[in-house]
Amino acid sequence: MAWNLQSDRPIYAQLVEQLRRMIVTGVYPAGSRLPAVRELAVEAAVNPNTMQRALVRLEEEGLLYTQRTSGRYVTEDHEKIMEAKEAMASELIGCFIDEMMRLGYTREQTIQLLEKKEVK
Amino acid sequence: MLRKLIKYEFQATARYFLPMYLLLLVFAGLTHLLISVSFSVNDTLRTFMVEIPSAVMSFAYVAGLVGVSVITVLLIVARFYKNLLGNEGYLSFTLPVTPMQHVWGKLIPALVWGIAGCAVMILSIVILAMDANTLPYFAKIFGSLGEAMVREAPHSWVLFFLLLLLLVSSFLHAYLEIYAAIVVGCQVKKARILAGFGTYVGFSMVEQLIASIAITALVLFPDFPKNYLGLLQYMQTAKDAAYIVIESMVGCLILFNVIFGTTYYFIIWQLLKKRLNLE
Amino acid sequence: MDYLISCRDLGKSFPGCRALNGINLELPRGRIIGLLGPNGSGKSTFLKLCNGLLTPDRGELLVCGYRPGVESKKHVSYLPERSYLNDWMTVEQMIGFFKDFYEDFEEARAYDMLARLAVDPAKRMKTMSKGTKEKVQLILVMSRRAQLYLLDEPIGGVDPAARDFILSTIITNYNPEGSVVISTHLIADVENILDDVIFINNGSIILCDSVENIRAKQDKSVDMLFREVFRC
Repeated sequence: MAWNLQSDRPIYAQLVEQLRRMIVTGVYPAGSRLPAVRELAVEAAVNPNTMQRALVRLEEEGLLYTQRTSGRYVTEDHEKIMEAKEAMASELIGCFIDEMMRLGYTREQTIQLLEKKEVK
Repeated sequence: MLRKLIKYEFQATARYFLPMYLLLLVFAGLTHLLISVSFSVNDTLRTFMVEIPSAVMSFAYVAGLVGVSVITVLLIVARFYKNLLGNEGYLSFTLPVTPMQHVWGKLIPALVWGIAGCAVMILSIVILAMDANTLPYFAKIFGSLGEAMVREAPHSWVLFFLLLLLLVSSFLHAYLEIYAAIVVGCQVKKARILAGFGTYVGFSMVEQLIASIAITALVLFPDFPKNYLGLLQYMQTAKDAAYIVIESMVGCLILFNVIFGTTYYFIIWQLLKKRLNLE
Repeated sequence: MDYLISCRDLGKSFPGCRALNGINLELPRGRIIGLLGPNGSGKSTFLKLCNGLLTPDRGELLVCGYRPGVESKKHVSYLPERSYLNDWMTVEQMIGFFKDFYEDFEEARAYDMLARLAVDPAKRMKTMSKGTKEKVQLILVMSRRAQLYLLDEPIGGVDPAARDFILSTIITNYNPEGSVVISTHLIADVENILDDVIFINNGSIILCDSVENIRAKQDKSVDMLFREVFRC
């Protein structure tokens, strides 16, 4: 999984998004152990403090939890992960529909177009 | 820390000094060999074949003697300049060591090499001159020297230690003068080597000036030498008096070295402490 | 010892040029700080002052709580912008040298990094390429458990692969109790690993903020901000 950071937004927010994506897509499956902060920081080529903040944020969201001695794990609560996944999906769809409306399509037309679109 | 600095300084310099000393001794041995062969052959052609190489070798040996002294000074200058004030100074001066520890770390190995150089030169002369014919003379010289040391004790020992002290203080004085000139030379931005050389010449001139003023003062104010000579009358023998004169002359030279050496030390210390600016 | 570097009205001039113009600064622990400015802005001068390689003309400077000297040098690991290693020494000997003089030097870590770089420790410095020499120098500097790492242009003029090696070496090895200062004019290359940035120009500090603040407030990268601030 390559980290892809844009230069015009806070790195912290981008790290949170990308880590969340990795969790919901199963790069880090439920219950698995995350690499150490420094390792993740090196992998993403970012500051370890920033990576730490992003991980704490995901802990607050309930997607990660820390075991004092052995490190940081992905939650075993599958529902929680699904919730996060659905939230991401709904945000994506929201954006999409907004864009389509800006192009002048109605909701129904958009759905029709969607159904016609072949999935490769 | 000083011990470690000295260790690394020896490591860095031994790879020049040791081969150089070895080379001089080999030169002396070869010269000795060729000269003794050239004495023992009669045939004109063979004389020709041997004499030219022996002349060349003798020349090489003499050049070697001069070379050792010159290279010693050059190496000591180069080490101080490059290792402390050149690029390597970026490492040297970020070590947790005081500037003066660095100076001692250069000075002590330089002193050892200086004295070792003298010893090697003497040894090379011995190698050059020593053979079955001259051996008895050497034995005689050293034998009578030893006898004289015993006979003339304790004066001989006082003189011996004074001369030793003179040797050491002369080296320290000379090196500190060089180091001070380098450090002063590095205060300017351009033409540092030239500035250092100029400073060195300046230092030497000041030394000579002060020495001649001191001697003139002795002539102008003859009270001191008169009292001093008066003291000699109380000596029991003329020999004691002669020793006192020689010892006090050597003592004066040592004092001269100490005074100037200390001055240069102070200059180096103040400049490295307050005006170290590596570029 | 709250701040690793604190200076007040720090000034330094060279004949014909004012290198630092009365700088006030306090650097906390546990940060990676970028000292950013164009060439000749005073970055190197500042780092050299912190290492006692230059003596200030005026002002006060404390490094790890001490004036630059034996005590501060025990805790500061400095990478100059030039090559300062003896040519004739082998890497092994250099490691021995660092171990001898710095109590906080961790030999095992140095050998580990060398192995990863595939550098033979028995090799002499003079047989190596310029790039390898620079990396070896960085390895020596980062193998210390120092309070403060002062890295002057660690990525100046290296290829992208070398840059990645250097940055990951820094992130992996610095002491989290301490801080790292990286001076550079190549901001885009380092900005993601920085906590804070200091913009310096003509010997004065013109901005001092965290990367995230800049990105959040200005909606642009530090690199873009830098280009605007220093537009010719």
